[in-house]
Amino acid sequence: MKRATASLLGLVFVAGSLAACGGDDDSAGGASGLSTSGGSSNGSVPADVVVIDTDPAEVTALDNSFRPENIEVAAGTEVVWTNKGRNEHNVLHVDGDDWGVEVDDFQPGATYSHTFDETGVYRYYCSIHGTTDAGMIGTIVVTD
Amino acid sequence: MPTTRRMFAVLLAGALALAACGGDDDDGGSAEGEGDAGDGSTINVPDDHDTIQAAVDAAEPGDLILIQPGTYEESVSVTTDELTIRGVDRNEVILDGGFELDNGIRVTGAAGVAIENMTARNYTENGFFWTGVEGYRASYLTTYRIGDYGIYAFDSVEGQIEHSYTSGSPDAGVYIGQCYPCDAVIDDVVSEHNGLGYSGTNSGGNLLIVNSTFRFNRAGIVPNSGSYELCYPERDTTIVGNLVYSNNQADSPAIDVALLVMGTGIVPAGGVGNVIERNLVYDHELTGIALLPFPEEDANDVVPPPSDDDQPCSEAKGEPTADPATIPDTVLWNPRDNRIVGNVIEDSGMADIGIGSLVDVSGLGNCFADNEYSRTAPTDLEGLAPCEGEGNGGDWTAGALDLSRFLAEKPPSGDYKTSPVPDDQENMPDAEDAPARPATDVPSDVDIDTIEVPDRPSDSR
Repeated sequence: MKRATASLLGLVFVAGSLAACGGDDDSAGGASGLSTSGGSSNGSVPADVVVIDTDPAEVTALDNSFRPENIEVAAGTEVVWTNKGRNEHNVLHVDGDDWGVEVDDFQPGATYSHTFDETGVYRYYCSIHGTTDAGMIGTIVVTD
Repeated sequence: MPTTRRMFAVLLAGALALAACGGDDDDGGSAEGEGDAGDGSTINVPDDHDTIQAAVDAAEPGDLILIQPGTYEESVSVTTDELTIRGVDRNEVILDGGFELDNGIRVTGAAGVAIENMTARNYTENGFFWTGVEGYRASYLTTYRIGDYGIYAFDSVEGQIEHSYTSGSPDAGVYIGQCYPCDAVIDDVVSEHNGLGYSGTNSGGNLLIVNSTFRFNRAGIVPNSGSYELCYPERDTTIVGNLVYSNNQADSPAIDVALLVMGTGIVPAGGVGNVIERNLVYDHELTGIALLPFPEEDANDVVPPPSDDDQPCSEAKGEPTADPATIPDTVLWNPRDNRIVGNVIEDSGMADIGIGSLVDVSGLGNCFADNEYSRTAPTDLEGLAPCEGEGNGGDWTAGALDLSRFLAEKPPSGDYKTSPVPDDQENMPDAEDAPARPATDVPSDVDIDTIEVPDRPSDSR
């Protein structure tokens, strides 16, 4: 993805549409009752999960929230986070898994991706702008 | 969670242990007289707990955490409602991030937390930070050499930021963002040597910025709209009775937006329905008050229709965004329906009051009246767009604002880590003995009508 810049008076007007930045994310629901697995040990399925059936599945880091906040994907899906905010963020797993990205590698405009092969509920957060359960948080629900 | 909770300088004065305190145990609650934590107890740092974080963790709603002088190398996380966290001496109770820790004190989702009378310095992100709260108060706080924002309220409502000083932040000294209605007041704040004195993205609705000073920043007061946060656009901020001067500071730290609007006093960039009244604004290389657009590249959404202006943030957050294929490369947030009334604007390089955009600005609904000024751009703005009655039908292209001046190369950002160290600041009265006062009574009432244009300070140009 190209760098997200929101410059005041950036007088460059090239007509055209923005490259798609997010998966189709308008189908909420699903995954209720999914048990935790796949190396994550903590987390129930949020009520407002957005089902994404594209691969990769896109999550946008705004200032200061992940959109969609909670997504459901099929096992084997690559999830791509893009920092489209103007602030620094990170993506840290709550449950001690071996994925995530620190601030230095997730500056505005940067992307990070991880493929979730095992079913489970994977909770994550930005440690600058949230705790593990409040503020800038998100969940990946991985189903069969 | 914080990464370091080590205090390396302790009690400098007045360290008589209270009778109920057993010393350095972790039970908390050296209440003056009686009571455990949770019923209005006072928890002393370092007498009861060595670190502020330990005291916060031990506290319950209603408690006062009273911090003695010292330098505390901590990043404190607060999730308990209605705490009052207070230093006994604003200039000697210092949280120091050592340019390694991110936030000085962060309050996440906890209602009614007040932070009083202390200093945060050398943090890589924010000094004092509330996010997702109802009820917050920042009183008698000092921040300097902070990597993002000095005092920062995000996605939070019912707040008060008062009697505080901020400097040396590349983004903004003070920031309130993503709230509508915010129900918040900024009163008696001095913000200098920042990129922006004030920034507020997508905030507004009973949001008052009054009786404050914004000087020696790249730009002074800069509320703006953009889809990189939720609850767009910025709207209904009331800016009255402020002293805004000499925001041309070429050596201050600055993010890109601060560089672009350098040399301006008050700039609602893509802001809507703001009221800017009775401010004294002077000595700006470009413009005193400028209504400018915010062209957002790679935006996440399109501009919502004006019919959505009253939509609360709580509802807007749940709205779906536009199909990415329909979002233009550049989304243009135009300033509209702003009222610029009764200000005194002097000594501006280009225009005392200006409006410009990439569209015809005559139809944006902004109005101008009763200001004292020398030049406007376009010429005769008060005749073209008065706040009462119809405009004079004059030529909006005559003397139009030269937007290219904003695009001129600016001095690069200074290093926030070497920005000026402020002088000592005024202490909170009776800090040692005043009872806990959680932020359950904010914001305070402000009688806007009685605020007058401030006088020019004697020590300014």
